[in-house]
Amino acid sequence: MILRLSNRACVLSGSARLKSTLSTYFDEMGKAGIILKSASAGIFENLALEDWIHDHVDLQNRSILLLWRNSPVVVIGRHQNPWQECNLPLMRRLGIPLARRRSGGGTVFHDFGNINMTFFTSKKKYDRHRNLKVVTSALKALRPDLDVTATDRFDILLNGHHKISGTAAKLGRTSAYHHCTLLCSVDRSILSSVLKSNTSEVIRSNATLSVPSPVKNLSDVDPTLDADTIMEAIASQFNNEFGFDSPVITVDPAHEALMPGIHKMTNDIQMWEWIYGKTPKFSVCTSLVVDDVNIKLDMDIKSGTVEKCVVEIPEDWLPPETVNEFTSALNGSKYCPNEAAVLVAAFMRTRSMSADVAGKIHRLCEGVLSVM
Amino acid sequence: MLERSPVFIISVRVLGNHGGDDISAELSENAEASVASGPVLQFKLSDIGEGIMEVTVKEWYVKEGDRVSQFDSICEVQSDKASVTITSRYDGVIRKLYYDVDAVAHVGSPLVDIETDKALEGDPEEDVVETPAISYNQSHKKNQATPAVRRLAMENNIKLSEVVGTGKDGRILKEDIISFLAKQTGAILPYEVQKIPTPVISTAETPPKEETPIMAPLAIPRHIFSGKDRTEPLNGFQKAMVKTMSAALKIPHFGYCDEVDLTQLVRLRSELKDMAESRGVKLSYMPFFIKASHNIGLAMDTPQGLLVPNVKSVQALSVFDIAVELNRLQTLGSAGQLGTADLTGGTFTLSNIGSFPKNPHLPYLRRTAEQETRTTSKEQETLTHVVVWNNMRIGGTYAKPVILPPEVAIGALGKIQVLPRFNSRDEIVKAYIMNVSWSADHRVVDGATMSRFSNLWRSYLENPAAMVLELK
Repeated sequence: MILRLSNRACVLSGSARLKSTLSTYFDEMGKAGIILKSASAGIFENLALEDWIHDHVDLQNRSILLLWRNSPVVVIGRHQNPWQECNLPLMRRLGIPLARRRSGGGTVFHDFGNINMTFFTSKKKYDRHRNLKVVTSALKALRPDLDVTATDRFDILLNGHHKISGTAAKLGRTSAYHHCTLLCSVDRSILSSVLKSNTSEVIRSNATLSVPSPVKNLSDVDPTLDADTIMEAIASQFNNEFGFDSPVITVDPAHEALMPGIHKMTNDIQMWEWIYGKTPKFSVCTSLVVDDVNIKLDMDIKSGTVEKCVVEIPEDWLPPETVNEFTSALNGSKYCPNEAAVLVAAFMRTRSMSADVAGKIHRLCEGVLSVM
Repeated sequence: MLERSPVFIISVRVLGNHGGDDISAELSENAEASVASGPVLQFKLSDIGEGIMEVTVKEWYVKEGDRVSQFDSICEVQSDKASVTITSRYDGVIRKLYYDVDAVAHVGSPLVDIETDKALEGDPEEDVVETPAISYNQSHKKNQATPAVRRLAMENNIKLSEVVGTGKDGRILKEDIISFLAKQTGAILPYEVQKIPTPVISTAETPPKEETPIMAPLAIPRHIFSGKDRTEPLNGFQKAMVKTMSAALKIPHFGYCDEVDLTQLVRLRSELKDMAESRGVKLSYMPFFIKASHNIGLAMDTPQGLLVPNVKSVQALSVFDIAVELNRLQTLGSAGQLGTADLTGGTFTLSNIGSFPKNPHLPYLRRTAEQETRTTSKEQETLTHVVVWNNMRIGGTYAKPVILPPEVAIGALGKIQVLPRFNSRDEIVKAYIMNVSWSADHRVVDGATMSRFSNLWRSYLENPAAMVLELK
């Protein structure tokens, strides 16, 4: 069941006994501290792995560190509004997916140059400052001259100015997890362009807002620092700080037999209803210019669904009945450009209209879609 | 002895927030709830830790009148980058929520009122942090188990005190009840590993072989049919489909079928395929079918459902141009990025059904971020070639496709099959045959026109050289 790769690393392979889950394996191990590394680069699998550990592993007398990295993705916090936080049209064009995590905090961009660390503990042992100390000490052990400090906002700053790590946390009934990022060699040009929303000014909401900070990669100050070296150092320092002696165990989050229920968790967090539907209610209020005509657009969106859509259009440009039908096509639909386009197309198919009117509706729709 | 006297609430009270009509509904919904006749307790927001005194309420998972069990989630609050799930300490019915969403809640202040099921043992402190099992006073040992587990035990006449709990803090889980039962009855349950008897002989210098696991015969999972139909609200795509199809069925359809011999086209395409690929374009048969017609829509299956984007002004495009445009629309379609201009304005639609047997579920697979980059063109081909007329099959076959308004005709293309045919010398030869079924709006298109169009279209495809010669 366990392949020992070295004294410090091993891989959990197929569960030989059907009864054994990751949870019972930890119990059998009997260690107070365990270090895990995810074999997956998929954000949804990794977020589900966090959830699974949080829900199923007994953390009252045990602490776990999970190390993981993802292919390019934008991750928003539990109570955030993606339309305010990132540039969704750009992400769609670049094929960068969006994920919503269960912890609070702000929006981040991950790619392979970023290391994620999750510290699982009981609620009593929940201590973010101590966890961040593991990270800063590990970095200083690697490069003693490195100026990295944790702030009281739980960020880690490089040279007192550039943010290289952000933190978020999730507290449950009896246990908690604190996770943080670490910028080693992330693509900063993509990071800055996707994290800049194209519609934040037109949105009114009470969602948690991210606090933008200037960022830097560790590799910018020391190109010899790579993610693997840093992960190893953090694992060692975790053992040192808490007096543990765990090897780094690789876990595959796709392994349903080892973690019963994890497939469903992975699916659940990919649903539109979670990623977009959990956005706290907000409204969009903007002026579009279509064909040199000023159009006022006013929408209320709750649970990601358009609850109210009002468009103010000069009567001589489009007849009011047409405008009403246009807005009722959008009412009750998801605040999603694909769905909106399909609904408006269906409306256009089923109503005879001149080519002139059809063209105007196309351009009006394009304008409305541009804020989705 | 309760520290605080309970807030008085009788289960049948006039609910100020609801209209009169709702009361009876509320009462019947909560018929179970109205039985709860224990004290109403104020459930206070417990200490979150790290000296935090205030949090923001972000989402309620319950509303007034809802029944909750111990450990159910009540709400989500946020403080300082931490999202906290507050769970219920009691079984009971929610009687009052003290905060609205986005309000600031204070640690130590009441969060909700819960009318409990029966008088509680012990001190109803508000802290939610569990104390470890060992600190329980043995004589007051309260076996921890959720109501569902308690019910299971009760139904099987099991005393919880006799069951060993293997959950967190010795909590009794459903599995514990089941293994307790198994021991009682000696039954073999699925997934139970048979214990190998301890070896009598051990000549072990070498470490003992790893226990070969014996897998007990797996119980065949019985699907329990509850016999209940499920009503689901239509999503946006389905609504659009319903709207379109309702309008479509007002159109008087007539059908016209034909057979097209694609032998020459198959040869031509195989010759041109590599050339197109070297220019980064996937060349299917569709660009040829399309070039042989006019402003044409192409039914395409996407993860969200059926979309019909169209290729405009086909008469001005070469076959290669059409292939480029198709590739573009396929990419946009599968990424959900088609605009209204792409989705409307077609003259008629071609629907390509099941030409190659592929996994019909491919379009519906969710892709992880890493898989996105591994999408092959083969998968994209599948996306165009599977038609989803799921709810609109007429006559059980695809021989009568439904026109998409405001268009006037639609063609459904069948599989390309290899069949024997007689050639001009009365010899049997191998031919590539495809069936096409047209439907046209009989108010606008008459039989002769349809026939002429189909014949012309067919002749271009049967003799592709003519296409090169005549079509601009």
